[in-house]
Amino acid sequence: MRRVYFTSDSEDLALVRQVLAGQTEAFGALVTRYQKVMFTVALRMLGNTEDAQDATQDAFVKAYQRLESFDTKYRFYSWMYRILVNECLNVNRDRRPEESLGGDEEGSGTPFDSTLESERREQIQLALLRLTPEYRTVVVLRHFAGQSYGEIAEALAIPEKTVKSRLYSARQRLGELLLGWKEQGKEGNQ
Amino acid sequence: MTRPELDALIQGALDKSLTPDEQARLSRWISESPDAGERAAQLEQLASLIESLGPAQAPLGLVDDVLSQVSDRPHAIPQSTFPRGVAVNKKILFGLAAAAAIVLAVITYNSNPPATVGTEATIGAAQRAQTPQIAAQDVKLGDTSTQDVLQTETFDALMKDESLRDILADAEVRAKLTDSALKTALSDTAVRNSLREVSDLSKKLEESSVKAALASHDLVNKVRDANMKVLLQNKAIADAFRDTKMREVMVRPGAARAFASDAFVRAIRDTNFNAAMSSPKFAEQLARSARASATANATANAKANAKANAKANAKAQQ
Repeated sequence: MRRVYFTSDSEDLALVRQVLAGQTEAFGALVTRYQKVMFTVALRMLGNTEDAQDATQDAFVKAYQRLESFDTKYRFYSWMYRILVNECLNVNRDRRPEESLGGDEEGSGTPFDSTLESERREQIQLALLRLTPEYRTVVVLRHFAGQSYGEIAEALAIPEKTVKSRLYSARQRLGELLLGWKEQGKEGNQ
Repeated sequence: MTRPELDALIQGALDKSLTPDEQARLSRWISESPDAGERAAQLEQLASLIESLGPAQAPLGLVDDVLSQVSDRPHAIPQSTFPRGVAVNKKILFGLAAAAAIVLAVITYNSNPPATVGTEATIGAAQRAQTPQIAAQDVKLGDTSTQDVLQTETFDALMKDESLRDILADAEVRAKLTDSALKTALSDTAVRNSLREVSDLSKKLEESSVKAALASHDLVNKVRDANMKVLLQNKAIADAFRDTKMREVMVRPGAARAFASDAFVRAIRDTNFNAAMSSPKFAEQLARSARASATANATANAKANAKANAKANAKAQQ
């Protein structure tokens, strides 16, 4: 797994201290550092650029407002992910059913059958949206934020064991949706 | 091995969380069972498919949008004037505040002449100094729009100069800089040379000969400092020193040199630039540049602090 988003925790903490000392511009450095990965997480969670932008922005603003409550024994980005994921779940909850991008319609064929790149991407995104929020969150944090089991557990405040089992079930479901794996329990194990 | 056990190992390998023992077990299994190999390939295929969506580009202006929402709420709590560690009972503080209010009321009531007398001029001056809000119809640009001006090299050069950015951030100063006499003075070669070379302007303006020259033009020749003499001989510059706002701006560290810079003189000589200075867009762009610069500084500081801390920790561990 590529860990392209990893940055130094000590730099984050130094910036957090500067913000708490009244240097608001230091928060700009934190936003600059994490905007790409946070927006990517929001986009994969929500499947819609506009909602993802709002959720990312609101998450950063909330993080700023609650910065005094940030416990420095945790990683800043884990804390940010938690705020962002909650923000995304709120957007999902507020969506009217007809706005849901997940839909119930079955896609025809697998993404590998799709000749068009955009169609292929759309099918993958739709499959992500058809996961339950719990499953989607772990998949997104693992595959798009490069978080380890421990980091995901810290961000979501759940045990590592739960992260592993959710990832397992989520991947199984995505395999069914995207690669035509047989559903577990219906056709037996492959 | 059962299927869930195998899947757990394959998933662990995919997520790089296996111990060397587990890794060896999985490799052995895959080499012995074609089914296990196929399952591992399927999970890898799924992972690459998901990750093929790749990272997204953050929306333009996100940092600015966030900062504009938080910039009016800095975190630092104003420091108490009481020494650190001294707990001050709230009742005592309220008592002190109440006593101060009573004393103030008595002084105000008894003062002769009343405290309000003589303040009219101050209020009047302050009201005169207030720059009216710029309405859309006030912005009259020539052939070039504000947006075009903001994209010029001149504007870019101004934004890179911290002193100029600070000077131009003040709408009142921008308004004063549209004065044609002041623009002519600031474009004058002799004035620019003196602004470049004069040192400690703040201190020099307090010298008695300079104060006398500011009070009476006839006394300019008595000013000893050659650069100050050149500056005071120019009426517009002398007027600027007499003006509270301009004087405050000009004595800032680096301001005199900034006023003498080529970029600044190019800007004030440009009609479109002068018109653009009144535009809210100009102020917005200035604020954005200042924030970007502050952000870059904060990042650099954080990096330097983290590096210093790491070095100190490494030293402590040795």
